[in-house]
Amino acid sequence: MMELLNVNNLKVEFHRVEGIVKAVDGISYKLNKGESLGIVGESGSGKSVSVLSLLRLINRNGRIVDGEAIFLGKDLLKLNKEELRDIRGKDISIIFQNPMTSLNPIIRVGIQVIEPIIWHRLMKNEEARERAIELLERVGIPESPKRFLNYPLQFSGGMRQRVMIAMALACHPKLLIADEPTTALDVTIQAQIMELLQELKEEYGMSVIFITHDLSVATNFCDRIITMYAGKIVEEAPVEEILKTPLHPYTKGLLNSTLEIGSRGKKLVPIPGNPPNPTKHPSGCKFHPRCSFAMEICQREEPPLVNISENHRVACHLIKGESK
Amino acid sequence: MLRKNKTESIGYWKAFWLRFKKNKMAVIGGVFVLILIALAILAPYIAPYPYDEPHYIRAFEGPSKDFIFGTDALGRDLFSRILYSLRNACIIGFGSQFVVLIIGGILGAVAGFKGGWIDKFIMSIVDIMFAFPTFLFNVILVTALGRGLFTIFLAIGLTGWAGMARLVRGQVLYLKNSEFVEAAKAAGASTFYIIRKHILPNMIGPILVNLAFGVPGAMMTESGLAVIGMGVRPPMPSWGNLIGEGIGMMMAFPHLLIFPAVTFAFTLISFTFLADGLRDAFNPRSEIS
Amino acid sequence: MKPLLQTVDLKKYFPQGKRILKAVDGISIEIKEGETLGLVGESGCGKSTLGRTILKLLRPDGGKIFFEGKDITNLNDKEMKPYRKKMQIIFQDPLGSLNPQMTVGRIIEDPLIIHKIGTKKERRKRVEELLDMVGIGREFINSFPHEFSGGQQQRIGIARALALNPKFIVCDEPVSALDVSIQAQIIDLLEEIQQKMGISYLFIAHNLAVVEHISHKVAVMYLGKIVEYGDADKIFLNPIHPYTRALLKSVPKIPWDGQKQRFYSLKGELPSPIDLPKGCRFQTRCTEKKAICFEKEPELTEVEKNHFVSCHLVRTYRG
Repeated sequence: MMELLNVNNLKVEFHRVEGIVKAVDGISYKLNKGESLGIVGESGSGKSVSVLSLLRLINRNGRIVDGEAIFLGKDLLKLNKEELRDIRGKDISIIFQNPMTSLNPIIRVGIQVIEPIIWHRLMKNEEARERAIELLERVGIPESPKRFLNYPLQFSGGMRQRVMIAMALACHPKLLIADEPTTALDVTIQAQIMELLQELKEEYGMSVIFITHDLSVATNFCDRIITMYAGKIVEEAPVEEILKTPLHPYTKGLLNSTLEIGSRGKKLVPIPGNPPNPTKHPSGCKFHPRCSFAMEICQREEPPLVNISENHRVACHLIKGESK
Repeated sequence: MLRKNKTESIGYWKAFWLRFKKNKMAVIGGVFVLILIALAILAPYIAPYPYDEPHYIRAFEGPSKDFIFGTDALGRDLFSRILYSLRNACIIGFGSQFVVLIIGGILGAVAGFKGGWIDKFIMSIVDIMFAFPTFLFNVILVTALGRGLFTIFLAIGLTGWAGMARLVRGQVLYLKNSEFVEAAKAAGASTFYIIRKHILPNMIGPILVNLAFGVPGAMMTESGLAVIGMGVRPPMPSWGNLIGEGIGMMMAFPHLLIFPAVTFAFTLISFTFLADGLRDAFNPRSEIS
Repeated sequence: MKPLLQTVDLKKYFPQGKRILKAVDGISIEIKEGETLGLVGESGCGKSTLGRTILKLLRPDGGKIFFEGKDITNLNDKEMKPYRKKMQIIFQDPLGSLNPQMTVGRIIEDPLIIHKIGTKKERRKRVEELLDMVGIGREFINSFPHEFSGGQQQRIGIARALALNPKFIVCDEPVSALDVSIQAQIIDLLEEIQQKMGISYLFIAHNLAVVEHISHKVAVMYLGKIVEYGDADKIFLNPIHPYTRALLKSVPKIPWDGQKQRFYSLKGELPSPIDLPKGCRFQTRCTEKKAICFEKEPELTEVEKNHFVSCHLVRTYRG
């Protein structure tokens, strides 16, 4: 399997009035060509920052303080502005969470889809226009030549998300990053968008990083899952493995608290407590205040991320690993 | 059970203060503004000479031991005159903004609350105000009302309330439809209670910023009026007057232009930095590293 | 036993120029004491409008609302005030529903101040009790809303809704804006409160999985009308209306057995409630239409005890 992305010891900090926030605290992961990786965690876990920082798409008061991200032989974190701009939209594309605010309200939708093509000088105007109309149709927007000329206002949330997907695919990216693309949508529209993404993933053979807090979506769409907590990776495994033997108490908690049809009559088992204050993380294992299995060592020492088997990693004192 | 993490809770105003503190320009501006206001208030006590006391023998002198900034055509102490200009400018600056707040605030609030044709009516007046050449309007008003300090700041206020009205109306509309107001309604609150307890406190920030920018703006307007001879009546000094005179004598007696211009610019910049800083500090998203 | 809340053919219309947006178009439901009615539908179906109309935050345009047996449909604000003590609301946006300038304590105290209940000391004591009840420590009484996470903010909103000891709370998509892991916490809290205090809920959501646990009865809403209604047990066990079945299938299932699924989607989107087609409103997205569906609007008919469906194909499933 060809390796597409190799992130190593990424650390990202934010400077706020309240203090320094260690949003991403030393994470490493790989993505192979054609694979879809799910990064799952609650708000504040650092899941979005861990991926958006690769394209330097974080707030001005955020700083990448360490790490490297090798994409097709180049370290993304060391590229200058021009080189980054060359990659954004062409080799790596992103779709964001809020379709209401991600599109420019005063530019026609079709033009926004063409934008990446023109910017990267892949086609001439006429060809690009044809391609944009095709894309709009492919993502399920009916009457696309007509709707090409509409403004975002004239689209519903689900439709706007489709437009964003069309924009993201315009230049045939090698890697698609989806940052909570369905969180703001009704469950019925979420199903439509996920169905579309599934089809496109297969059709384009794209690699995907899918960021979400919803395991029920991630486990159906992705090949592999990473669970993140307070800026760190706590578990990583292929979907089948993580569902059969989830090891980290947080992963187990997430799985058990996901609301599914069929929960009637069963007891709800939410994870107690809340994600930690970003400026004051707990000592030792960051999850220990909410963990029902917490031991004395969990308060003192952070557990290292160890390999349990070839493709299953976990960071927990309860689990004895084989090698680092 | 949620237990308090060991950070202190940072309230709205404390967070505002922290953000404000970090903006060096704003703090410097704020400190200078305070000094300037103090000077303005104390002008009658600290001015070395009355502003209209001539010393004909010592006319057109440059800075000296007796006259820190020199003297003008009538031998009047430039430093004292500048102090009084500062005082008048502050009276006009703050006075006019008070008028703006009352007129613009009430009209904007009524428009926002009542909606319907009252809103449309008030907003069309606002549009007209914006379309009007404000300066001309100011000149007309001052001619009609007279050239006293009070009438001048009244005039500037009367022509400058439109922006405040729009702002207040926008704030009221936004807050009126917010969910915490709905929650209060669901709890049985009267409209009056909602305005007093829920809407007004949330409007203070943007209004304060608007007023903070309005003060230097009004000062500039008055000096503009003074340059064309419509400012405060001489011998009462105004920066506009002083600068106007100074331009006439620029080649021969540069000090008559330099001191008024520099002090005026300094004052305006201080107020503007302060207002700028207030605006950024009220915005919780402007995290400054 | 008489129901705590009852609506009869309730309507709420919004005129848009010459046309009318029929957001709530003849809804009849009832909720007993201590019971939860889960109201499910997509964005734009009118469920939030229904919740607010029941609370008289919007003025009804037709039909009736009965609370504790009394007709409150046409009461004005002043007359509604005593009822407001018994009917409250929790909102979808946890932060938006809290006044950013007020401390948490003051926010929760607001309803008590509005109704002039107790002395300052007594009110503070009550606020502390409420904070305990929703799982937020008393030491936060002087903190501000923005210092909390979404789930905590929602708890504060719940505490405020409980301040006056209401009998009925409209929960308007209270967990839609929260992380999945926190959703379970809040639903758990609401259930606990219902058991302790016997409060009835109208629980509004767009996802059937969210209401499955907490509802005694379920109503599925589409374009201003109810298409399926009845005991939650019956509806989840035996969903009949094509829309209800599609909604259920839209909820992704975790592939515990290793069989990942294709996401099922209901085609198309909710049409605008302005230009309603002739006949059944679901016709544009239904996969099982017959000729009559384009002609006549179906009515709610009882298919089994406490289970009503509004669909022309119902006869096919009956019996």
